[in-house]
Amino acid sequence: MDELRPEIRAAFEKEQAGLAPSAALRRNLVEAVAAQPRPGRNFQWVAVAAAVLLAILVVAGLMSTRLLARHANVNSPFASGAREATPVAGDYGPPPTGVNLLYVHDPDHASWLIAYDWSGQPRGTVKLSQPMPGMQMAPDGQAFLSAPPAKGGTVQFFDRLGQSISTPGTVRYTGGIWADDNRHLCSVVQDPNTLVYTLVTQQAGEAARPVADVAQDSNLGQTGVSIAACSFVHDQAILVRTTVASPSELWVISVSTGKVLSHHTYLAGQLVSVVASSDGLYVAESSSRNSGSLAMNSADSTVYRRVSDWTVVWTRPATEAVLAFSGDDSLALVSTAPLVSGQASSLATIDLRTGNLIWHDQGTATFGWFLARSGGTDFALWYRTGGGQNLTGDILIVHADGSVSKLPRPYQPTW
Amino acid sequence: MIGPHLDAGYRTALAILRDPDQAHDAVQESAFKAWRKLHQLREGKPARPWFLAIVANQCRSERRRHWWSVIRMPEVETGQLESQSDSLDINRELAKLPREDRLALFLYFYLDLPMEEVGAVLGMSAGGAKTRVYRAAKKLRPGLEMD
Repeated sequence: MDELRPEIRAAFEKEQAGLAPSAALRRNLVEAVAAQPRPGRNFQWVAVAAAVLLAILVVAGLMSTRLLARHANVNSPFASGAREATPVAGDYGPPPTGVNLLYVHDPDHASWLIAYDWSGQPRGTVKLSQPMPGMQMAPDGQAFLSAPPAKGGTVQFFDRLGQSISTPGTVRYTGGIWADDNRHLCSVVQDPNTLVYTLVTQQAGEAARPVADVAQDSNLGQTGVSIAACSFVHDQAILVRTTVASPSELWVISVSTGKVLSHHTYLAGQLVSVVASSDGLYVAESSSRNSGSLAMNSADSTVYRRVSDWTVVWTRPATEAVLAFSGDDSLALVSTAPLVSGQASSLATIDLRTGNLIWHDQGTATFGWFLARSGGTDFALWYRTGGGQNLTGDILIVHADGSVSKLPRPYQPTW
Repeated sequence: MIGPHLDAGYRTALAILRDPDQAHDAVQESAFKAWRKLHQLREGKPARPWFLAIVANQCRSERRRHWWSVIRMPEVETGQLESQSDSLDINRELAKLPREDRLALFLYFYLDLPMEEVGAVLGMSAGGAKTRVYRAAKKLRPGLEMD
């Protein structure tokens, strides 16, 4: 029956084409609903439900021993055997809407992108009119932008079906990240004349919007300012200044007003990196000891802070360098040894609430890059297998229970 | 809570009503109803099938409410389309399906809902939903076999 999926999906896609919901639908509805008084609750059903629930609990309690025995050994926390996904055939039809997807370049068709879901199953194919350089998917896989490999090229936005979206003005790509709404691109741009760094946001179909001037260099190339998180949901972006390979300053900035909400400084050589959760609520400050540094200022441990009040919420060994938070901030992807190009990596996922190790890699392949599932607990990891210009590699999806799904063949990711 | 599902709600309404203005109205009314019935959504239960079921019911009500006008001004549908071409175009076959069959196919094949959620929207078990989807798909492809 599922062989009909591409055809039926394409038929519905054709039917719905051009009838997309108005852009203001969500905002209008949320405002309208929020203006409604919250209705009073009727608790008459509670007594009946309680009686039924009690009966169910009694039955469930009697059955629990058998059920537990049946489910034992399903989820080993250190499971290393990867579930192999269905082999690739090629064209999977239009990708589904509203489903978190991972896109990879189709090795057999230069302008095709194959969508996998986060269980490692192919779910659709986007066919671009021509191969686009530097294609980057939004974290939820529902939009794309084409960012030229070299800085200074022109950014082009695409919808979830790969249709180019006309965007006013000429937008020069200067690096950047997708915001947590999966719609905005957030960048830090440096004016070559004034050497001022400016936070800029932009979404498809709209002109770029300068948000705030953040910092200024006294000499070209003295420092670098990059964006660690950009949250339109929580209205804050986190920018980090790096001075001689070590984070030196951090700003928390309102993306709506450009106001600096807080500013923090670090000692030279104290940290190797600062990463932020995609919602901008947490930052992880990784000790420079992870990089083998013996600097006097090296932090004693790697710490996680809550951005709102800057308190330390978790403390971990200095040997753990944090690469990313999971989309729901419950897990962290860490490197337990310095990442060296061409050498096998040593990665792990940690449950931040318990400190438990959820998964660790086999230390046999060179780690390339990662993607945290938008709003979820999974990480997609790309391990480079090809050398030189060959950007294909194995892609593993690490789940919250420590199990792993592996895509059926090496791919070049779009993240 | 229902914000992330408004787009799917609109598309579901559009699949049933096949009119963007009516679909907007239906999803708006559904959002109000969902707000009023929020206490019915028990903790741990997924919001998506619950909200889509409200949308589907709202669309059915809309259809019933407009029935008198349908009688007075009948839609020109399948008969005219059939006379234009005899090809087994899947779009045309889909258009000829009963609305509940179309809805089942839409939820499963387009929105990619798991059978449990399809069943929750249609008001039946996952097994019942699978049978409904299979029978609807078989109308498009008579030789189709259930997985």
